[in-house]
Amino acid sequence: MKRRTFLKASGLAAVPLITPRLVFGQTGQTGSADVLVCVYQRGGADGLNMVVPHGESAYYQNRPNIAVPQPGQTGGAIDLDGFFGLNPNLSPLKSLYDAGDLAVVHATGSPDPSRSHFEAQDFMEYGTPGVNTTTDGWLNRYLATLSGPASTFQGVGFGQVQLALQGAYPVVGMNSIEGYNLNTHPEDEDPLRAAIAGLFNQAAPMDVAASGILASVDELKAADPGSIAVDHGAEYPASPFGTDMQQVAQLIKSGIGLQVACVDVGGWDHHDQLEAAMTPLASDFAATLAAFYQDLGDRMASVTVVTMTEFGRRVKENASLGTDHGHGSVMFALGGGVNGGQVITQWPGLSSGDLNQGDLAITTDYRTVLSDALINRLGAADLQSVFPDFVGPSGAGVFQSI
Amino acid sequence: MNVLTLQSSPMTANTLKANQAQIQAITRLLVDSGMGQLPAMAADKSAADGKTLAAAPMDQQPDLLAHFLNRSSYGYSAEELDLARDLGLAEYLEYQLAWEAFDIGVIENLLHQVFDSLSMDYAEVIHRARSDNQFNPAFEIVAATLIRAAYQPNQLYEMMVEFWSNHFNVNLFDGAIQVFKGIDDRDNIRPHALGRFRDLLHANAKSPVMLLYLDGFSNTADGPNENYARELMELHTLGVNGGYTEDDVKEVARCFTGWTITEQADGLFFFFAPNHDTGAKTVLGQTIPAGGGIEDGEQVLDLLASHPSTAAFIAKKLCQRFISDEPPQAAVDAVATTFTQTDGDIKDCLRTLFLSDEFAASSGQKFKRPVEYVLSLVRTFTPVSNNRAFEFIYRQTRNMKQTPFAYPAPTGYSDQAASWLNTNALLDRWNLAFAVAFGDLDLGRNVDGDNEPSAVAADFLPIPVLTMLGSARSAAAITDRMIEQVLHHNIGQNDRDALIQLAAGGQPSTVPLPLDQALASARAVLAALLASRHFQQR
Repeated sequence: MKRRTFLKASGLAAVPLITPRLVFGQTGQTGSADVLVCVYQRGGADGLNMVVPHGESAYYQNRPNIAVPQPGQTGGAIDLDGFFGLNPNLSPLKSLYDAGDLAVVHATGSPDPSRSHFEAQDFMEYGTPGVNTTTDGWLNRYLATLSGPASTFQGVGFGQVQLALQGAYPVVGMNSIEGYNLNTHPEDEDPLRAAIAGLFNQAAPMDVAASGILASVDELKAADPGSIAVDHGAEYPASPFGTDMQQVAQLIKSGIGLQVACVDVGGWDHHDQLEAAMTPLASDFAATLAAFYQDLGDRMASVTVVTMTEFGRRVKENASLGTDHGHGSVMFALGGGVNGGQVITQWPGLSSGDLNQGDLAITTDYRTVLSDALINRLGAADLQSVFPDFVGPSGAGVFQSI
Repeated sequence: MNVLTLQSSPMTANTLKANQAQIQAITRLLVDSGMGQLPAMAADKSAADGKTLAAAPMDQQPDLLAHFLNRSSYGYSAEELDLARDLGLAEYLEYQLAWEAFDIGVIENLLHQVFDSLSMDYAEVIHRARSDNQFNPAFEIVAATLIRAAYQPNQLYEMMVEFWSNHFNVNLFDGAIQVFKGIDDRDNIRPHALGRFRDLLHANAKSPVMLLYLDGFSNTADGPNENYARELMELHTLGVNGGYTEDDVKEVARCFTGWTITEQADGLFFFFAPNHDTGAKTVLGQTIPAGGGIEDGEQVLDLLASHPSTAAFIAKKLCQRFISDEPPQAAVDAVATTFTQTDGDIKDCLRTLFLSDEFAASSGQKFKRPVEYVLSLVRTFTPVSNNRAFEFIYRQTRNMKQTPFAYPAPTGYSDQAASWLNTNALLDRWNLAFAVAFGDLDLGRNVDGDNEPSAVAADFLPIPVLTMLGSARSAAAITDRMIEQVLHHNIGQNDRDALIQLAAGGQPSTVPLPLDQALASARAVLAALLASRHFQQR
């Protein structure tokens, strides 16, 4: 007897193992809350060369070799408001800005003075800058505030489970939709699942992850996001970031119940040769966001993308034609509910007296932008547990209320 | 001089090009030498089916020696466990600590035959990097590291090499570090991995890879760079709450001004006095008088090596490695005391740690990191010949995101379960366990494009299921035998029942099955067992 019939004959396969907790809606969301996609530019992206203060002479004085030229010049910035302009490699974002769906927040970031990548990233993702004792991420704490029926796919981290998502609330880590299933012979699957369920029947983190896997592979199979095509002729770059964002779009369209997703785009630590290093990264970053926007089309009315980075760079270029670790940088907000078409900032200026240890000062706490999104686009009422030490302000006019 | 011109195209662990000729050569040499095979599995001690328990009754927890091997090795055979049990913990620990007494020559000779860079000095690697664009020392040191961990018998030493490499982490793919890391590993980490912390710290401070990685090479009196100074105190010695201030960071940076690298020096390290800040400095309350040179930095290293915060920080990190993610304070304090009393003798610290009650009570409290999971798969089984175990190890550790030396930040890879345990990570391990156990499954989604599309798990890591099965034929006997050979201890009744039910497939659990069904059941039990917590934790 082949193993197949041997096992089928046993009756084991008939045992109902896991009941998928599917939440299907029009766009797959509970209520009218937006899906929040958090994009993290790892390495400390140079906000001053992404969104260029071309109206500021100190910018050109500090960066004689690596400044992006003024609009109208060769390789010049794409003007946004007469003072700021986009790096030309970010040109795909211009039409989104003009359509009112993209806003820039400048001179923003985490107020902690750390210039250490990992400490700054950790602080930001925990949502408690300067506190060494936090052990869970701000998005995990946000998910824990939600009530009502939940999909296993409420919180998804692409490539890893980012610190912002880590914590007691169960979330999904996903490397690819295609690879997210059980690799076994069809006839072995049910008996193996029964055994696995029996072996992971405690309450330790490993058991939580195990039951999360058994539920989520079923939910994913039922929703089948991998079969959903890219719409409206959008073309994602064939990069890790492009691939991840394409899959976020597939999860959104599948109605699997995604509420928050974290996606990383790495490589922004430009200590040397900033222009050569940033050109392909910025192109990939902008082309991916533009493809995501085009792909989702009308669905962008209920999707919010926010980008962040651990810190900006030193205002003054260094001897290697790069920039060292700095402070303030840029966040982008993209979506139908964004008060777009503007650069939102209390611009601190770049004269030496305006700087924070040689770096762009921070006039908008990144938690202000995130609170703005959570309150106005996700309908959050109380952020006390999400950003426990944060005294506000909890809005900067970045988002329209739902 | 400009070693930075060695920088080749940006790489990551995922774009590191494996040298196929070298893979084939090392695989053939390992197999031909017989060293590709680990010691045999436990003999089938059962007299008859139904009486398959080993001679000694197995507890539901690993005994102390099995627990020690779970923690101090990348996996072990029944033979090794027998040896450890014969010697007892204290004596087996001494055997492992005497790392230089092991015969490691066979593997080392094979490695040096295939990987040229392991024998080179700085001038040679620089010359080769400039003249031979096939030269790939980054792959060579990654491969050598994984092969040593998989096959060398001095396992505790190899674990400590990994511990210190991670403690003094540099990103292999950061510029010229890819050319120099192998020399750093050979000359600065390995000689001191079971030596004295002070020596390790001094060697690391002058290592070209660290000078490059944390920008020490460009730290000058006119343009101080605080990168190394900060990480030296935060990550290498005192710990972030170890009692230093931002002023200490600046002062320490001044002490190390002029420490740089030049091609004209044999070891590349060079103290360039004109770039040194000769003013007086105050570090952690101690005055370093004006007019000093290279000794300013050396004095800082000595100060830090002797500091009580360093003893506490290193002790905690060792206890996190070998006891639990949040180790009992009593164990940390005991190890820190030993550290202080012995001037940072690493062997003595490990003696205190492994002979403590807290260690003995910590069985199963650590979650394997990817390297540990993958290597324990290899080392638990006796691979049959013609296997491609090295490729298995290399690709799976990469796919699970723990390629040696590839962590980009100076913290090194996390030693906390929370960093490695999530649905996708555990799912990847399950799928790997299923592939290995069934043998005919695609390693699939976990394998990179270098691989032929039809490759199945048994091409890489064929496991001797027939040998393992022995005379066991009933579901209960098969289950017990697989548990014994994989875990070397029993498991709770609930878990055993789940596996027996899987093996039985609806048949009575005590009835002998025909051989083909028994083999299929053995594979199914292995699949579930390798996926279970019992094999995920150590």
